[in-house]
Amino acid sequence: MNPGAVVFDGRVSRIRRVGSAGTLIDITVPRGFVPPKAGQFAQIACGPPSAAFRLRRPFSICRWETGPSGGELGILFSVVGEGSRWLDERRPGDAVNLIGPLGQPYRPLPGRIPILLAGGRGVAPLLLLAEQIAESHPDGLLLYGARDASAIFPTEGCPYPVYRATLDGSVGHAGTAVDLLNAMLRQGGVRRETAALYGCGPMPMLHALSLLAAEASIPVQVSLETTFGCGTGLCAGCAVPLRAREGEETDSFHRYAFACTDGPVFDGARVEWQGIEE
Amino acid sequence: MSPEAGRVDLSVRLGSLTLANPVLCASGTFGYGIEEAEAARRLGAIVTKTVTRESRAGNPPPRIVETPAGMLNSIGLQNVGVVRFVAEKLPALRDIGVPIVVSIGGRSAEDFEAVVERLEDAPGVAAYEVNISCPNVKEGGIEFCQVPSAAAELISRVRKKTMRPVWAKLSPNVTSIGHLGRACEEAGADALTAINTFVGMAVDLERRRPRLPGVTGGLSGPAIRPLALARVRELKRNVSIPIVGVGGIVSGRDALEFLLVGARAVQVGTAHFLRPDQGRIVIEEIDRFLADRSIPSVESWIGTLEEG
Repeated sequence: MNPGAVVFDGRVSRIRRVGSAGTLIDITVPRGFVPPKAGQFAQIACGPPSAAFRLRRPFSICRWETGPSGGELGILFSVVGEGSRWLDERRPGDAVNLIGPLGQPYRPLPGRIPILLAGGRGVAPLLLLAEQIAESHPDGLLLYGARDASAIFPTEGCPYPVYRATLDGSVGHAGTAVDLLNAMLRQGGVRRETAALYGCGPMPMLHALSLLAAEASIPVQVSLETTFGCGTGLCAGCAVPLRAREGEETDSFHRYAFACTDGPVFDGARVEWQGIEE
Repeated sequence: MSPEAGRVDLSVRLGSLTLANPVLCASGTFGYGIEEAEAARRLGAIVTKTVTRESRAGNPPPRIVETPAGMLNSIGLQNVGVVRFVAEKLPALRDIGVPIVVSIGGRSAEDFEAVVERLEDAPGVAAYEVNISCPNVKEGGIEFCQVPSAAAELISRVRKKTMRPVWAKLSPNVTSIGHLGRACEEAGADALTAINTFVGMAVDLERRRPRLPGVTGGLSGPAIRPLALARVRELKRNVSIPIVGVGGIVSGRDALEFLLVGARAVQVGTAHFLRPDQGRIVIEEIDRFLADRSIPSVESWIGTLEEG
């Protein structure tokens, strides 16, 4: 039986600006917080306990370090609304209440070379993925796309070579990370026979990535961001439309999976992209 | 902790049922009741998400919009259907050891009857909560509540199928919840759950579109608590069967308001999205509040509101 999610009181250990629009916050959490796998997230209460009702916000975990009395996790994010603004205003020593780690992580495919594709702040879980699989998969690459140079978060410490792309062409390849992948497939820098794709970023990017993967017959896993009610499987709010597997018998219930407990990482070939508002 | 905390008698009688404490989860805010088993163990009873005759896919995303002091949802009763519920969910629910109230839904009276028939063979169901108030399905939801006689007809048909307690979950989106409640009482309901969500709407100014694909959704959370409380009071003046109060309860004090007005139990709903174990916190806060005032039991608090 599932005992359920555990609520933790964490504490901000560091917070700093990265790039022009990013914030990296490190939060120490007590013993009992299970070391996260890349792709998992934390549900953070973005406000003091006494504040008016506000749903928790999901954040991908980009860094983890086990310590003597628990651990420290890193969250890389941009301010997009009231919740992330509250988190951005934290200072070292402040309390942060969180639930985690939650959700299904990336499942690295043995024997295939990992090609990580990040769009904007979607780089967060891929940094943790690279760190966690570099030993078993030493030949991976990170293809990192962003709007422009200022929107690129630092990736120092990433064990994989990083190839950048910007929409305005100011840094690296002109275009998206998926355009860059396309070019590398054509030029032989990435070989479809041996690659496995792991993506995180805006929905249109993940849709394009999944289409390209299907055309090239490359396995692809994508981490989807949807509106969450609870993040713990209680509310059924974070529906993701899925296609049935070939030959699989499903009832109508299975048309929608839950991003929080079935995902956020999904097989890109199974996502019914037409059913998702981009 | 006050010296007396933990010595307050938290148990409540709800018709033929006796619950260890008055705090339940609200249908649709706690999954099937097995996702958070540790938290579920502390509740007075578990109310499952609504179960229907056939499985349901639910509504297309997005299904959730946050609003001031609350949220809109349009889930659309996504569930595995009663056959799989009995086979896959009910055994684990029984293992939790807390009374199980199964919320049932359907498009027609026949659907409701079929769900009950299937559940009647299954042991361990303490009561049925008849969901005649979902605002997010095209058929078989809220319209049962629009005409009290239609609600009464449905409740009496469910009543004939079972000896188990039948609760009617009422919508606040009606002209007179008092009339509706009385009709359900006369039709044989053993208790009333009040209230389901309020129909609400939010729009995206940039895209000039509704934020939910179905345009409207059900509003829940602290925003509706005073509205819910007034509905419970109105019902209290119109019926003599027990009322289960629900709407925006987050704290023990919130729950105590409903109990004071006359609800014999309460349901914690949307607050579970902030903390899966919020029900336990509400129970502990009720215990502490009553202990601090030397009130020996929840029963001696229920319905003691002094008006005028």
